[in-house]
Amino acid sequence: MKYWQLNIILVLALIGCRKKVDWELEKSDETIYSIDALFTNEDKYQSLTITTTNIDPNQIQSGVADALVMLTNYNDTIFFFPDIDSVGLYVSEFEFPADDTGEYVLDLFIDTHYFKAVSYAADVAGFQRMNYFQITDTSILNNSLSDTLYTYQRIAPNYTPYGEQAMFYTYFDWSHLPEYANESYENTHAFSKEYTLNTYDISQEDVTNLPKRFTFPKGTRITQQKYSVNEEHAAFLRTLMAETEWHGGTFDIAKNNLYTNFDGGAVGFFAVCKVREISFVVE
Amino acid sequence: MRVYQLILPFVFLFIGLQSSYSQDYLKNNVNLQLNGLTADSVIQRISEAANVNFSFSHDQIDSDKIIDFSSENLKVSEAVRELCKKLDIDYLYLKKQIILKPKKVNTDGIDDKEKFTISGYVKDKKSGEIQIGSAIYIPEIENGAVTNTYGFYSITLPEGTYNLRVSSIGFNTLNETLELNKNIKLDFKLESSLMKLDEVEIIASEKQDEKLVGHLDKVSLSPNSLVGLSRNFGEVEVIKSLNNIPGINSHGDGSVFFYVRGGNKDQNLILLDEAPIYNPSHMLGFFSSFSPDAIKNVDIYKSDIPSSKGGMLSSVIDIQTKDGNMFQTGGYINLSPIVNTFSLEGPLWENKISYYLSFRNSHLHRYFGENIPMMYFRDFNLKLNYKVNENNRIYVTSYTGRDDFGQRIYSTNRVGRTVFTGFYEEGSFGWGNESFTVRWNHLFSDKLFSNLTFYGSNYSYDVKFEDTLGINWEERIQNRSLKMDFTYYKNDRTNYRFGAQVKSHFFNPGNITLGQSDGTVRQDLLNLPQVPMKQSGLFNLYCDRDKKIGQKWNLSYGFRYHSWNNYGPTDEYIYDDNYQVIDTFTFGTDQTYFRIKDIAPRLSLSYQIDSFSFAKLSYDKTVQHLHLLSNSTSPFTTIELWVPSGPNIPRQFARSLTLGYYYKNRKGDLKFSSEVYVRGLHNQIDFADHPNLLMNPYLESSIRSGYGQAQGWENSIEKKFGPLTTKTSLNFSRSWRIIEGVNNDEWYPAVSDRPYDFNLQLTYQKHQKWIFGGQVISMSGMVFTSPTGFFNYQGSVVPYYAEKNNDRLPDYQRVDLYLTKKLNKNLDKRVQHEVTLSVYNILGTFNFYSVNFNQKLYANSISTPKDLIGQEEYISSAFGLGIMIPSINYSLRF
Repeated sequence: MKYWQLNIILVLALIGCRKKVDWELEKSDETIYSIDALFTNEDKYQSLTITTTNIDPNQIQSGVADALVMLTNYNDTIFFFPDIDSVGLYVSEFEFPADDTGEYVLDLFIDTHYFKAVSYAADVAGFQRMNYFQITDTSILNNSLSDTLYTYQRIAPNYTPYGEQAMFYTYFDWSHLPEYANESYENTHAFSKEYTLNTYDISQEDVTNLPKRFTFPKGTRITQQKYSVNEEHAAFLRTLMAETEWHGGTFDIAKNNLYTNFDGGAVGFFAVCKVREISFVVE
Repeated sequence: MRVYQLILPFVFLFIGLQSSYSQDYLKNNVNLQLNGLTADSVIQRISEAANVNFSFSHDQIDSDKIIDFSSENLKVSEAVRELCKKLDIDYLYLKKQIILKPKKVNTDGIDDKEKFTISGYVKDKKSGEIQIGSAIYIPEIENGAVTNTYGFYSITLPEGTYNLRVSSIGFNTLNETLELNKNIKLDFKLESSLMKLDEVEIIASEKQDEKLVGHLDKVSLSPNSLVGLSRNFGEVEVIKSLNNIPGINSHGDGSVFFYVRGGNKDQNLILLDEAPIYNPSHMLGFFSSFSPDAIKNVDIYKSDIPSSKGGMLSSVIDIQTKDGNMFQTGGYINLSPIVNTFSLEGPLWENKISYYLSFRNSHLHRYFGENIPMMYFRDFNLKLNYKVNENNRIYVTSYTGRDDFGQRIYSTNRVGRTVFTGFYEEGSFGWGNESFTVRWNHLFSDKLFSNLTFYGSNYSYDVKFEDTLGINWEERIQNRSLKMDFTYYKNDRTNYRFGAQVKSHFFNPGNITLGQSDGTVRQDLLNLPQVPMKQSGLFNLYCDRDKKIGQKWNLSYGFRYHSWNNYGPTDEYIYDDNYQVIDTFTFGTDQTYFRIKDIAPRLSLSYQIDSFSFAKLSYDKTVQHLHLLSNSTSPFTTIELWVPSGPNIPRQFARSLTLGYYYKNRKGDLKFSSEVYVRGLHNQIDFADHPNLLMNPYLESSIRSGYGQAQGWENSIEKKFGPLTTKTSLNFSRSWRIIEGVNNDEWYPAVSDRPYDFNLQLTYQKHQKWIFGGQVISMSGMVFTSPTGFFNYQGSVVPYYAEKNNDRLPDYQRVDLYLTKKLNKNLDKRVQHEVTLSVYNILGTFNFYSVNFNQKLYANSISTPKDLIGQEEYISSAFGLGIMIPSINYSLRF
């Protein structure tokens, strides 16, 4: 047996392997509403989506029409109206920044159901531009459109015991580059999220379960956004990560539903965040 | 820890010593020659001559009876015995009084003859190693004795001539005829037999029958019986082999976790020479902490646990290590692809002091480049055994085991070779067990055996975050214990086992520390959340009585008293009904703030149906004050926190009822057993959704506790077909939980719920030099929670779950084979060597660790996505082990 073959056997034996399986999930007859509502202090049309859960993770979730949605901040009430082009998307009646320091109350009426959530915006501190680096090890490339590709490790630490909790959204766009002119949206854009939380979980350190790294070419426009996160939002984000990116590794944990701030049985979360943004081009 | 708790065991000891010394006058000589006197006069003359007082009632004793009495050079005790024989009466020593009383008629209606005690040790003739669980069978009374953990036996019988048959697995049976007319100390030295495995089985079968029926719930594994067990990377693995025992289910591949009769994985007490080992795993669980060669005997209790061994809810795995050869130096070397073992034993002072030491380490890192982070483990056993005199023996055991994972450090040695010398601190993690035990066996008399044990045990798990500042995360459980055990062998029908134990615990439920250059550890400098450390004490008092009633019935009953207390310095948080902190109490050093007491009774009753079968009913209550906080569903060792019972965590307790039927045919080549059980498990721990257990001072707010129920039917059959020995077990069981705040307060299957479990072991040995064996395992897969829908949140696809543990992984199935060839031409030679080829999972069955729905299929891998708008689709993926693992190992014994 060759030396490398022995290596492979030992690694597989000690860590195990993954394979695709056909698994029939038990479908629930119950209609579960999910609400994705994130309002920011940007002066814009704020929006939220209401869908029902679907047994197929790759199917677009069926949007919920005919919901009555309103947001209350002190004595001001803002209504949200359905977007006619996208069922389930609800857009505020006018542009506004959700930058008040007080509580926002979101009320939703769907058929006979009533859901309510309360949130507030925490402050957000400034942040630095992310670090990226050119790939020299070609084995991690997932496409070969360019030989000048870049990637990055992390945008922010995932744990801070008492420091500021935050959410980082990063948008990558290289569709404007001539050599990618004919590529699809998915092949010319990327979006990733990272969080810095006060809580620590072993599954976030699982080296056998690192998310698939992606690459982007020189000239990519990167937009980084940092969102403030209040305590309840942080609790939700921790469970979101546990059920998505951190899940399925060597140190797996019991599966549970995400934390939610909605009363009435809906899933999802209503967050109000202050946001800061940095944009730059990869050079 | 209270002072009285420390002192109490020694009070026991002192009382024992006092009673022993106060009867020294019985050794004085009495020389009398009296003819034709009344009994009254004879008693008076003995009293004067020996300076002792007699007490008796003239109504009960015929004191006018004329007798002749002679006591030339007789001790007082012998003279009294002679007198009572002539008067056909009984006697009792009470301090300096000798009480004469009418002879009691026993329950069988047969007058008691004068009784004498045979006691001693059973040893290996060659090495002097004491033999645990050896049977001393006496056909005349169809009864006998079994040597205890220290090789001691004692049996009291009426005067007479008896045939004694002494047997132990791996040794030739010894037959001896004995004229019993006085107390006799008799050590049996058994000769090792060059036997085949099937012969081992027969002796084991006989031994089982010759045991007193009270220990049916105990399964014993000796080094010889371990040979027939399955191989893990070429090594015999004690913990992993427990899966072969009905009622014990392994978590799966690469795991040392196991579940006993519907219990949780933290409900098993693993003792190494009396000291608890909290994490018996190496390499995340692919190997267990115990070097197979260091083990002399393993006793496994899964119900009707002796009161002296309580402490956990579901089982006790009591491992005794080798004492070392008293007469000659020997050794053992085992070489395998991943682990090497080296052992050495021998006398330091012939037949007086022996030693045994064993070192085992992994060398997986040799197969990988220097830059690849790697796992490494080693363990070290040392035992000293000092035979002080006939009545005293001292054992000292030390065990250290350690695992590390991280980037390796290499340096150049003196001959210019690059060698692995350790791990870089930063980013590495590891865990270790240490234990130290001192035991003192003392014989107060030939009927009263005692053992005083002191042990210290430590388990820690650490993660090294940062090197220069020495920032480490560490969790730890430590304990110290003093325990005094007595066994009183009253007669051939009754034994008592009793004693007391005091124990202190220290818990660090996971904190980050900063190591200072002066060696001190500071936590406050980092301004990190501090999880309060805990201290607790436990005092146990226990007593068991084994009693044979008539010829058919055996009764065994007892109790274990628990007094648990928590004391400072620490902080305790008070939570409201929504698990929010509403108050904090700070307690000073040694300030007791929580105390709870329990009495856990046990009772078992067995009935001998005929010469070949019997039935047994047992009930027991078990109590547990230590809890493992882990939300992991992984088979691998990970960060798991041990915490004590206290104001926010109730102690767990369980009640079990077991009914069993046991049969063995006349030839001894067929054994069958069937047991049914029901268990009620109280205060079982589960967690709120997504518990926050790490570095969380309020981790108790994540704990939920409730009720569990388990029931099962376990069947095993052992049959020998010439050179082929088969052991089959087929078990059916269910285990459920209902816990407030979990699964909408409704019943759900526990992680330990495995509805069926099948195991077949085969051993074929036609010739002494070849052994061929294997096993087939098939059992229900583990329960897990699968989604009943998905939704999208900010680009992430998120699962939604309707019920906890609503789904089940595919059945676990595995076939292992091994072949051992003894390489010596002459098997009588002292130096023996052999080679074993083994294959783990020869069919390459893919056994699942988990099924996931959050991953995508990429060109060369399955991963969770970092880019949330990538075009790949989500798939169902399984994580598991699905390859055949061949292994070869060579062992040399000298």
